[in-house]
Amino acid sequence: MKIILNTIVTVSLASSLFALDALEVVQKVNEREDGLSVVRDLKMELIDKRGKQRVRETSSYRKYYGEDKKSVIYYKTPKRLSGTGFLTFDNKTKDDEQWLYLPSLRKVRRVSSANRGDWFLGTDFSYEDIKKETKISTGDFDFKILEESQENGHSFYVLESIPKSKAIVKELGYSKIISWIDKDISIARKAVFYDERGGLLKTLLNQDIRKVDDIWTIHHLQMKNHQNKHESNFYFTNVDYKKEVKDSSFTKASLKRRR
Amino acid sequence: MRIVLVFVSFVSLLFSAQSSQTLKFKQENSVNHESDNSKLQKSILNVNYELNIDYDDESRVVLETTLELDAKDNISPKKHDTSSYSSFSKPVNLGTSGYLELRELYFEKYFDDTLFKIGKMQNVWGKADGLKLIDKLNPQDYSQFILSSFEESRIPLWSLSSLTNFENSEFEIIWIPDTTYSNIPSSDSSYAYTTSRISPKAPQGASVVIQDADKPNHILKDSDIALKYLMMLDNMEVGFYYLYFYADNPVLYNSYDSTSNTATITPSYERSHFIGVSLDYAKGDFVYRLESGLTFDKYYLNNHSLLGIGKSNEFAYIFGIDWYGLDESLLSFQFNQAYILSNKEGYSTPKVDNTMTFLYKKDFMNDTLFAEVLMIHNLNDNDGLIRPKLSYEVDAESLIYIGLDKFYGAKNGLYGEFKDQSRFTFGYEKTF
Repeated sequence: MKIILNTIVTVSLASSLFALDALEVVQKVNEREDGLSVVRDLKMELIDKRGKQRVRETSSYRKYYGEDKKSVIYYKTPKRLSGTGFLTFDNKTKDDEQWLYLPSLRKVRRVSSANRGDWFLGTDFSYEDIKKETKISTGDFDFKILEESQENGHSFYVLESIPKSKAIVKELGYSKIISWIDKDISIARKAVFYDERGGLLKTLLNQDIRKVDDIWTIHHLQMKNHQNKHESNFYFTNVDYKKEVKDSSFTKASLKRRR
Repeated sequence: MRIVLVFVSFVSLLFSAQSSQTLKFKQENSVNHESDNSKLQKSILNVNYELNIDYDDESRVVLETTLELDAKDNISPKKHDTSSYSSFSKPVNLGTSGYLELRELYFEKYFDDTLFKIGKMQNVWGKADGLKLIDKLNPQDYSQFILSSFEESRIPLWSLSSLTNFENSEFEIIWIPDTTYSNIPSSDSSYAYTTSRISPKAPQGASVVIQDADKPNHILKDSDIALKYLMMLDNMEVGFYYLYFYADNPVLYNSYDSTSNTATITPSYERSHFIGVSLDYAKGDFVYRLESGLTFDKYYLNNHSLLGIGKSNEFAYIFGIDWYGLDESLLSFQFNQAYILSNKEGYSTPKVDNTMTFLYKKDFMNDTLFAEVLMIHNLNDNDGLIRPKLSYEVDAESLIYIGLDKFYGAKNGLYGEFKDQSRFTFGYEKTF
């Protein structure tokens, strides 16, 4: 009986220590420096299962206000969508706020921020993927380190993230995410996403990671959807963490002006 | 010599700034399917050119022009009747089936937190779909009733505006000296109003004389002014509006002379004040919207009144719910009520007029296939309009689409009167 009790205590202790380690890894990812603000261009290359390619070019601004974050993205090409703008306030203490500007309507439309699992502008990234910018929501997931590994000269924590509730699974569209976190720079170099039923959904590769203004920056994100064979490549260029980003960049008036 | 200097200055300005240009071609055809012989209503080529010049000091010049040619001008024989336009806003008619229009030409610049704009522009307020309550600043071209998109049918005006941003709010003031009003289709056009809500009825057999409109034309005395204040209260956006304006639709004063058996209609434009409030709130999968307003001295047809016209204050609101709970979809419902506040009787418009709208949009195939259905239904007359549309992105710059504009209901209703003008539309857009 004593042996059984000891075993239970040991296993519980090990699990809690293991969970703490996982949380520390997540915290390191989330505390990674990513600049008070950033200005950058983003080229989105979308490839369908027949190999047909579409390219969208955007420019974007992002700025932190304490724990809140404001970001805005504008389409430059295709010209058919030029001027379309998307403004997001990620709020720590209240619901997020989002507005969409469609030049064809000339109206700034308030949109729901609860559509976290919807595809972002026709890409293979979800709105939540874009919002988190490789950071990980501690409120949505429980974490476990599956193993530590080495590949291509990098050391990784292999992190499993499981949504805390069925509601979160439904909201995000993910039942599990496995991430390979680079121990040295606290960035996931790879992540595999599983759909609500546990099937393999998509794989993210973060590539061309190098320092800009002394901040580790991912310049190429590749997301492959295994179910519809669609692929999205995001290429970041002209990344600038030092350029002044005015508060007025995050107003509805600016959204209409595309700047 | 002066022209050359202006040109040289313009070119040098161009090279000291960043410019972007967009050229859009649209070929669109509409086939009327209600009449015995389905016929091509229109087959248009629309060419839209837009130039943006951005300067380093955050100022900008915007130019937009549109050329439209219709190979089958079966919609409105007297197309582009420009009599409701001010002399400096008129499009240039190209024969009887085409026009060239300066859509926008304005300069804008920030001074501290205030954005000033001057020139010809569109000022869009309000957020309702398919209905207009606060969106009163620009008149509309109703030559195809409401079938043209608001963007295409909205008539830009020469204006001066200033928009000041504060930490959690903004204040806008717009002065509109342009005395251009809505283009109402003439009585022989396909989309001429026949409903007794809008169109006065002459006694049977009487000849009808329509006089030239008594149109304001003084740029100072007859100008419009509009104020808007928007603020964020926690997660709710609240807006306050005031307009001093000429209603864009003419008041059709009418009289009947029994000795000559002649009905005379005298269109005239009347001033109103409008005060409005809007609310905008997002919670979970839902966005709740409210627009409401009080229009002072609105004019209606009234067969109990002198010259067939009655005046009343009107209170109206639009309540909308947008639901984003389904994947890649938007389901939207709006309810609109307008109250004539006068106690008098005899108005041709119901004292409480009720309209509702449904909108469903869904994107498929990574935003390459788009489906939408808009339905507008008037509960008083039990008539309305249903507009399903399917669009497909052939490549990044090309779009093909097919849609149906189906009017239904009583012939005397605002929508039912166009029952015979229901149509299929298909088209192709290419942008460079």
